[in-house]
Formats: sequence, C-alpha cells, structure tokens
Amino acid sequence: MAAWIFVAAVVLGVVIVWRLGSSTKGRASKRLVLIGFAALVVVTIVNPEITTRAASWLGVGRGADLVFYLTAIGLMLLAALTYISHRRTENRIAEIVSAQAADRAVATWEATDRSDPG
Amino acid sequence: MAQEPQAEHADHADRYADVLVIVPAFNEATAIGAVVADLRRQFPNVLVIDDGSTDDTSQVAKETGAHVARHLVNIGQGGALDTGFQVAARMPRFSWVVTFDADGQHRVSDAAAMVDAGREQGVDIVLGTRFGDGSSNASTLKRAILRAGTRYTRWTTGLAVTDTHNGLRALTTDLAKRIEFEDRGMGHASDILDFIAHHDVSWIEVPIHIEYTDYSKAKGQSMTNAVNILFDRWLR
Repeated sequence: MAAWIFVAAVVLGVVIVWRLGSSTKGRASKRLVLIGFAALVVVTIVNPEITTRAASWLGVGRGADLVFYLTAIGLMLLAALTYISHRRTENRIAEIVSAQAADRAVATWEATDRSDPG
Repeated sequence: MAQEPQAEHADHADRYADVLVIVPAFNEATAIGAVVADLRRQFPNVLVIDDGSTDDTSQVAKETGAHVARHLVNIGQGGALDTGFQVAARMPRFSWVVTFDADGQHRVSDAAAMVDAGREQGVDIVLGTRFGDGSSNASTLKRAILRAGTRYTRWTTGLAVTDTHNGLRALTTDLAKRIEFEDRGMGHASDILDFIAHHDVSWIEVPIHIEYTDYSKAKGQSMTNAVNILFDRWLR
C-alpha cells in the first residue's frame, strides 16, 4: 500500500513540476526542485543507510531500488522539461519568422497596388 | 444561358474580391503552379506562404499570379497559416480567408461553396468535412485513423465535428485575427478547433471532396504523425 502511495505522490509531483510554466515563479520552483533533488543525492551518498530505511518505509524493496526509481523519474522529468523548453524556443523563432514574412508580403503587395492601381 | 468564360471570370473576381486564399507550401514547385492557376480562375487573391522551400515554389507561384510570403526557415504549416492570417488582418479589403492545401487535393469549387455557405449563414468559420455527404478516396486505414481522431476531438473539445485536421476551411478575417496558435506544426488544426470550442465562435461543416493522388499522399501527413500531434499536445 505504501508503495502505491509513493507512486501516486511521484506522479503528482511530476505533473505539478510539469505544469509550473515559464513564469518567474515557475522557473524558481523548478530550480528549487532541482536543488532539492541534488541535496537528496548528496544525502544518499553521505548516508547510504538512509535510503534503505526510506525504501523499507515506502515498501519499494532495497535502498538501491529507491535510488534507481528516483533517478529514472528525475531523468524522465528532465527530458520532458527540456523538450518543452525546446518547443517554446522553436515557437518564438516561428513567431519572428512569421511576422517578418507577413511584413514583407504586405509591403510588396501594397507596392504592387501603388504601381498598378488598376 | 451559360456565361462566357471571360464574363464568368469577371463575375468571380468581383464576388470573391474580399477573399484571401492562403496556400501554405513547402517544396511544392511541382504542384503549386497548377493549384494557383486553378484557384485564380475563381479567386483573384491567392497568397502562397512558402515555408522555407529549397526548390522554386516561390518563383512558380509568382509566375502563376499568386502573391508570395516567404519564410526564412521552415516553421511548419501552422506557422504558415499564422503568416497568412497576419497578412489578411492587415489588409482591410479582405473579409474572408480560405486555407487551401498546396498539393492539389482540394477542389476550388468546394472552397467557393464554403465561402458562399459562410456568408449565407452568417457564421465565423466553415469547416470542410470528408465524412458528411462529401467523399474521398482515402484508404480504409486512413479513414479509420481519421475517424478515431475525430472522436478524440469531439471528446476533448465538445464540438460535434465529423472530421478533424482537414486543411480546407473558410473563416472571417475577424476570426483569423483572434486565433492564436500554440502549435505551429501539424497540430495547428487542433488549436483552431480548441479556439472554436472555448470562444464565442459560430461554425458549420460543409461536405467536400478530397482527391488523394500519389503526389498528395507522398506530400501529405503521414498517419503516424497523429502520434506526434498527440504527444506535442500533451507536453504543453
């Protein structure tokens, strides 16, 4: 049962981080999550016993299993956030390209109209 | 009595003078000439959006009488429509916009009928449907995937559409000004339907015919692209 609560909590956490967006608050929150993750890694290195106790409490097997699960989740989350960020950048480039093309097309069209009003 | 071709052309030129036909094109030099020539018999104002082609798409389009907006790099079909909508929004002479594929699979008569229907019924947008009384020579697999996509769209937007991701549409310039694209790739069709669902937009569907040729099948969306569209929509 504890294992399923752990899985549900992880899924909820991933969705929340996913939906944080690119506002100042959203970016700060993502960075705090990253710092928290790094701190967790340091703690597990310094005190490996803690992961075994946590794994036992959460019902997910050995401490090494817990570390593996958390690492896999962290990597997936990082890949998803990187992909979203990449798409946002692509969208910004597309906006610029689109605006530039529209500007030129309108200017050319109006110039054609002026030179050939009939 | 049948009209003389020239008189008929002049009649169409007046009737559709306030319509801008937007044709997004990427490396369509082979087909774009015939598509533009066909459109120009009915619609005097055709704008080809050359989405960063590496062939002579722009040149051929200009030679056949289209206006051309050229993207510096390829940004996707949604981006091309966005460019076309911006041009329409800035030219007060246009009150309607038609989006039309560059690969020759749409019929000009369908586009004209959609504009007429939109005007008569006073709606904001007219969507073409392959599954009304319209017809297409799509494969069974393609029809099945399109129907699944339509069911998904009905479920997610609440719109009772019978087709989805159909590139033939007629919409008022006022609506074109309001639409905001989140996805400038192939997912733009879903953005348009989302916008209709979440704003005060009146719409109708009109049956159209799609002619899938070997060329249009090679150029059009692969059915596996449905996976990419869904993935991109979920990862927002």
